[in-house]
Amino acid sequence: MDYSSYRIKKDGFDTFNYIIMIILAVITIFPFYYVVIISFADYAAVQKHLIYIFPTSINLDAYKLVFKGEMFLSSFFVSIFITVTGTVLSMIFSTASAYALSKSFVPGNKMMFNFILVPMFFSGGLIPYYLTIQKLGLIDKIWVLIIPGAINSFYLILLKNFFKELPASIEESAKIDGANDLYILYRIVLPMSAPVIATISLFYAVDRWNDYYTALLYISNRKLFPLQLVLREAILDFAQIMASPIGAEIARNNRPTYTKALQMAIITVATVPILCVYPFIQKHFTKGILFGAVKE
Amino acid sequence: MKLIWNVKPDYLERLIVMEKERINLMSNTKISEKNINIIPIKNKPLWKQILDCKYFYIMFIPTFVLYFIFSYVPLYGIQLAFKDLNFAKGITGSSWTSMHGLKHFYELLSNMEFQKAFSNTIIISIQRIIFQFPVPIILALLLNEIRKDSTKRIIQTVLTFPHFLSWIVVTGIFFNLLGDAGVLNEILAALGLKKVHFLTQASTFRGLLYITNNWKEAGWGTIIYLAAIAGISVELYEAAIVDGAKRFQLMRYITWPAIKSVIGVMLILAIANIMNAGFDQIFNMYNAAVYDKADIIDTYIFRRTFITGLDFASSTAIGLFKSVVNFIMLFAGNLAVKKITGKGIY
Repeated sequence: MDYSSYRIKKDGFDTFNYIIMIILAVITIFPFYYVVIISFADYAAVQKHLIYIFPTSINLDAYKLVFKGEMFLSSFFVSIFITVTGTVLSMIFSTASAYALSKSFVPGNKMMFNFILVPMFFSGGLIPYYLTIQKLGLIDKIWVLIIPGAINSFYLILLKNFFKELPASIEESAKIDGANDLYILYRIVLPMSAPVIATISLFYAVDRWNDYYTALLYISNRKLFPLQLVLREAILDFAQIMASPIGAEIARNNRPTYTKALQMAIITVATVPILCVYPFIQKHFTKGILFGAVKE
Repeated sequence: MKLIWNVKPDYLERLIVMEKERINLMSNTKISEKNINIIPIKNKPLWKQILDCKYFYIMFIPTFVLYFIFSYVPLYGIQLAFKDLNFAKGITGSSWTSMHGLKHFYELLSNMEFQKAFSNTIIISIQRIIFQFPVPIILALLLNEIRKDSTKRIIQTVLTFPHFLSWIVVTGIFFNLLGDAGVLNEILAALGLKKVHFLTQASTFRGLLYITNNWKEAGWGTIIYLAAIAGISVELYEAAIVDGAKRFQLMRYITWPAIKSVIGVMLILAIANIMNAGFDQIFNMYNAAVYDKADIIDTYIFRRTFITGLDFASSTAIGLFKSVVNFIMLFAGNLAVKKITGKGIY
């Protein structure tokens, strides 16, 4: 992989490359940095500076408001609930069926695989799907955020390809000892597959955490709104937020609250959980997902 | 990440490995004849094979149920595209439309707003292929030239991260930067220039789409290419270096051929997605001021269905139209890429 460290002489291209990479890294990080400093900024301090790039004030008002607002707290818990429950369910279902699909000697294996594949290309579209959800009575239920999207075909296929590459001998010796396939999967195969399990779990969790669309379509009870939907209102439709309990709080405070700081505080709170988990799993990406992906 | 299912594992090779392992197992441990058939062999009667695999079928049940309910049952609703929906009678009870059931399609194709959304979708998709598709490839080649593995990993970690943010968060971040009170406009104002309304100005909006999309996804996109590069054996490079190859010759004659087929597959998938010009991004970023340049089919369906009026039947028709075009593009794209690179996805 790292061939250039072998024999190639250092030249101007290396310097050029490093400069490019540093610029790209700065471009990637700067917007976050700016979000964070604005979320902590004092309105007066921002006004005083022509360009507010270096933080000169610390003001926790925005965070206090965010965490005081009932709406925000409930949405935070809804998001945590659907992320945790959803990821656990998704992983149980996906690992089980991916393992079953990875065994090509099972009669009907091809049929089962096509059953997964076809919906990736043919789908009923938005309206028939909506009507199905409606018929099932899932509108305005928290389970609509968890059950219908519990399995992602891409992740399922990634898992299947990974399981296929595992050496068969360990499973076989477990079978000789009289273990059944379910036991083998959860006691032997999954512990062996930690990198890919971590990676796919992260994907599922992030998808759940970031999902606003399902809630936008099927949830109208504000108590069941996930964080991303509240965030969407806060950014695109600030009037909504001002009309909500947070807005009442701002009005009661009777001091110039920096509304932008409030938006940026919500963004920060919505991003931090991903930021906490992601770097630890990132190192598994190449090992985990690409194992089966680009083998030819 | 989308090319996985095309890659056919080498069954023969696997079988050989399995056979070797079994022979090893047999020679190392004394197993009775009965236990050797752990993997059901084809010469057993079918019902016996099925019985042997019962746990695998049990594992598949939850997926089967979920896919059946949420992917196959809705297919039945497609007939709505050819009907006038009567809420009291339901989908089946509704009557077929005039014009041999094609009324909704005729109406759509003569609808100005739909025509606009349709052409926007195609233009944005094509421009995305031009302005977004090559970026991860170039980035992967540059990342590959970094000498130190630790540096490479840090930069990769940083560049991949935005992929994991939702478009809502990204929208918020860029509103903060590019809005009327954003840092960029502050700099412009400080320089005595006029403020630019990046977000509500039709002429800059599409450019904004490509830039923000590259910011979010380019780093993530490199992974697939870096994996392909990682598969190249180092000996190949060393041999070439001994023969006096320079950096760009290595890139041109070793790295490039290795990622060419991956690029082909990714291109086919991009072409097959021509009717999806990125709903998630546009839906969160656009506003009425830029409809003219940014309204795509998906956002149009959404508005038509849930905001302006509950027009379920013609929305279904648009959805069907989209699927059919996507499907045709999948075949066309595959054919074109096969012609150029000699390798398609099927």
